Amino acid sequence: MSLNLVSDMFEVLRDQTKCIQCQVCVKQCSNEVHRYDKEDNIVLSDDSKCVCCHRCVAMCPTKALKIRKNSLEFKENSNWNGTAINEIYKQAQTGGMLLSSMGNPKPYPIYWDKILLNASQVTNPSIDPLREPMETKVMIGRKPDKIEYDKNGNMITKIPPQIELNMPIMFSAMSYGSISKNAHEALARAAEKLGILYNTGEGGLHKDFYKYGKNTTVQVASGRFGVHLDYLNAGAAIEIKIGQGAKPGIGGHLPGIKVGPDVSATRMIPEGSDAISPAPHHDIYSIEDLRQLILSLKESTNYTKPVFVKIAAVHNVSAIASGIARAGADAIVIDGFRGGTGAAPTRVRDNVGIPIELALASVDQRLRDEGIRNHISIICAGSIRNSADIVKAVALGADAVYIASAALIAMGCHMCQSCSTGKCNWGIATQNPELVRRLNPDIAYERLINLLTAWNNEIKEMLGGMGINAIDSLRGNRLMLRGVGLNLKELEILGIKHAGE
Amino acid sequence: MKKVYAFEKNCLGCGLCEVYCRTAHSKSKDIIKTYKKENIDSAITIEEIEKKGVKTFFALQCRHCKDPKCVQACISGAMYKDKNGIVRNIKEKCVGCQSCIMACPFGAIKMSVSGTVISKCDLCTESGNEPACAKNCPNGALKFMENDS
Amino acid sequence: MNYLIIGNSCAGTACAEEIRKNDTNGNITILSEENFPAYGRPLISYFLQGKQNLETIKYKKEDFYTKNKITIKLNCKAESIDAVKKEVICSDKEKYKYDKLLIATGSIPFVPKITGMEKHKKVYTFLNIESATNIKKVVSKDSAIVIIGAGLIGLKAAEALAEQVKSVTVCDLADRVMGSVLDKNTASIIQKHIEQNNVKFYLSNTAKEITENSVILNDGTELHCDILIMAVGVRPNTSLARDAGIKTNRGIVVDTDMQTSVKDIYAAGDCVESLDILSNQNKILALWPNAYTQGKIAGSNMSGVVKSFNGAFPLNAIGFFGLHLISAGIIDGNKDEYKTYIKEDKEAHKLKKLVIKGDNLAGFALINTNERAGIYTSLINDKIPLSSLNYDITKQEIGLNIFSKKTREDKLFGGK
Repeated sequence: MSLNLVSDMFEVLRDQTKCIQCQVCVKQCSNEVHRYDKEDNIVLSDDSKCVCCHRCVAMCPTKALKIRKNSLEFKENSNWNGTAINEIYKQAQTGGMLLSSMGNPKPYPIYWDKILLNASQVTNPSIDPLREPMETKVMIGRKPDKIEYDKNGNMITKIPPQIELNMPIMFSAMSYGSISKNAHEALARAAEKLGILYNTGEGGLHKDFYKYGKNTTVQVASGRFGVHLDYLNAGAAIEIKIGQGAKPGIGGHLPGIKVGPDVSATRMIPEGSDAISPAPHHDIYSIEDLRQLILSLKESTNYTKPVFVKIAAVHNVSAIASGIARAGADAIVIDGFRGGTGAAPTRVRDNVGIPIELALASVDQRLRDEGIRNHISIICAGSIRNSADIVKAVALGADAVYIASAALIAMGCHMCQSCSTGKCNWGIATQNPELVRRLNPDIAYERLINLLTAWNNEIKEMLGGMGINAIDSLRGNRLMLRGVGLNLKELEILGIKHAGE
Repeated sequence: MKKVYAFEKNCLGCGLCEVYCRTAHSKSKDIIKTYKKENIDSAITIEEIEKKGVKTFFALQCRHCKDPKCVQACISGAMYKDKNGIVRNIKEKCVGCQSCIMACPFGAIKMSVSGTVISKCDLCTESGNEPACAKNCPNGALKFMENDS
Repeated sequence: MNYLIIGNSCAGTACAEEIRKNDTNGNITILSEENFPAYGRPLISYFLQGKQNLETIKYKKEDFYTKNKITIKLNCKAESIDAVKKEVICSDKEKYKYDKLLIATGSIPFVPKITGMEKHKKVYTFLNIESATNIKKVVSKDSAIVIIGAGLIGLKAAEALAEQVKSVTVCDLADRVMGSVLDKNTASIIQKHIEQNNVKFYLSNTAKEITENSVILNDGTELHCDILIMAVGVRPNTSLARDAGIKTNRGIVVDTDMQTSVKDIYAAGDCVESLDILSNQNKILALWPNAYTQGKIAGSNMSGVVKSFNGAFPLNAIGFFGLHLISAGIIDGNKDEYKTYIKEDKEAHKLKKLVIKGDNLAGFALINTNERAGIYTSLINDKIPLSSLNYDITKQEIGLNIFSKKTREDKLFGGK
């Protein structure tokens, strides 16, 4: 096929009055957009290769570059827009499924932005977190139904294993393979410093990172990559990954090209082989099967580690959550449809799953109704963008949230959604050693700490405003929330009143 | 003494250190003017190492040696070590004979674009600030620091 | 403690500076037969050319002598040394006492006897500021210059004068320029470049006879000559030492501490013989960096800090009309022992020649490809086995990347 019908997504605009031909852009673009023409002493750009990652824009010392959406128009049509047409061109040309990365970008409703927080006025005092103690520490794990003491006042109730988090935030699962070792190092070190957990994802745990075990969640996914006894015992918690918000019902596929010596050793698979995570766990076809795996993992770790079960937010999420709680999990992770991914079929990413806000509210409600809410912690995942989202999530019933996209952005990700190419110009979603080097773990680590420290302070500020001095007191406190622009059904599921009520 | 140290594991070979080195030593102190109107040398060399198809880089500038071979070799007295330990070159005295280039075991001295004198790092002493290369390195690959090892 | 230094150039000043570092109180006196503070001796050609003046040519800063509390005696030629009384008698009849003495008398020009030389009224050598000043006074744009000797000094004189005079002709008995330093091929590149800049050569053919206005060569060619510059060569200036009973061969003989055969008398620079680490023979290595190092080591030992000189090897960096040559070590080794690698671009007057002996670099010559030449120098100096390097030096441009990561980091972070 000689004629390429797919139109360029972006235009690279170079202000030649500012360009000094230093060629930093040429050297920095892994997509080879820019090239230097020696004969004419000019730097030129090939728009068709641009993914709009802004690496060149950020690095250009004279700010000579701008990237904008291709101004080439198709004839106006609100049904057959440019994206729809280009996707067809692409598939007609290749015969392949469309692949995308990061979370669902479509304009579905974002309920966080339709929920507002309360604040104290007159009748109860607000609290100034700079002057008074304010607790954002949370404990993740199964809580006993009652606490009993012996005659001497010693507690006789055995408390199941708990994870103490300094703030209600954890780094979500991103495998070594999907992201670089430097990115993992930054996450691990930041988790240690912040007193929270990061998550290995399904890629195993690199030998260099065992030292961060106290701040690590080790994941067991359908491919079982890198899972062995030392691995399970290395972490503070174990997570069984059933599903992922970005691609519910779909497995994972790390192409062989990303399986270098280090990834191969960590995943325990041959170098260069594709790492395929099956869609289901082939030993889990029922809640009973899940219970067996949970118990096997607990047995393997001598009942010292809480076991999380992560599922994608799908239609009957609350019933599934109830099953998971009854299967003996210590925490359930619900991943909404806007959660990120290294690679997913575009159609799945954009059309499968449900919004996290609705899933979270219905799971919390269902577990309360069944009287088993204290048996399990709820972790809310899938595009938490800021501290207000966290406060709203906690008020809707979450014990803690997972963040991943936000952490990546803090490290430099520009959401170009090209992770699957392996050519991440920011050194995050790549295994190419020259690109990985671009992410200096020392710098990324500091940026992660800055972000979460700022968020934690903001959470305290918002809690104080509501007159609450501990995040535990906000959990499930939906009276602190009001909806705007929501219909009755949405308000009912969220369990909140409309603003003004 | 404080010097600029290069950390290979973080160097991208992007060349921004050279851009800022040139600008710091220009009259205008403006990047665009420096490049378009002034003929300024960078005192940095970016070294490239290729191993098994993977390139690594480091930016090299004068090490300001304790016992500088360039000063020994300089026939004109243009090269000297100042009281702060900085190895400097007096352009007016330099005849561009390249004795220092012959002597420097790091290969850290270059001929200036004019071809008549040499060009080397002065740690941006005139600006009184942190050297421009270290200050502007986007990835922490150049650090201005004390190293006692 | 009285330190006395004869000679005010590279070795002498380096010695004085080093003594002052170790001994803040001792008296340091430098005797100089010249009437000018220390200057970059090789810079006299730039002075003659007009690129340097009497101010910029000064080797040390204005306050060098006062800051280091050095008594400098200009116009003061040391005439004899009394090693028993430990004193030096000077042209001003003054006697200078010493506890430690350094002889750094450098070189003197060698002027062969040529028939009729006395007839020509404008014959000059070219080795110090005085001779350069004298030549400067007499040259005009109509001068026809003949230079006898196509070594470093003769060629630098030619470069200095080429643009100011009517003609410059260089003749030498040797078959090439810089015969004592270069091989034939390297020399021919340099010769061609110089020829393109208005200098004429007569090689394998030198002056047989001199008349009052011409030079007659061996083959009978008669060159009109207004000014004659004798640049046949230099000899170590050893007479002072020899007369004092100090052991001399071609140069003054010194031990590794730079002390001569007479206790408390040291010598450094162009007047001594030093160990050539490549040939393992004692040679005259009249090289600026060598003089500096020797002066410094002598100064150190004179002031009680023991240091030893471990030898040197030939090193030259020189430029003519924008062409730059750097050469070091052995560059014309015999084929049995040495392997030679040459990369040449004749058009651009570029050359890279590497001479390898066994697993070591023994020498190199670079013309207009001098980037990072010091790394080659260090390979010779530190006797680095080539097999230990990251790549073959004959196949790739030199850079610090030739060393292993560990070595490289040790070098960069060592700050030696």
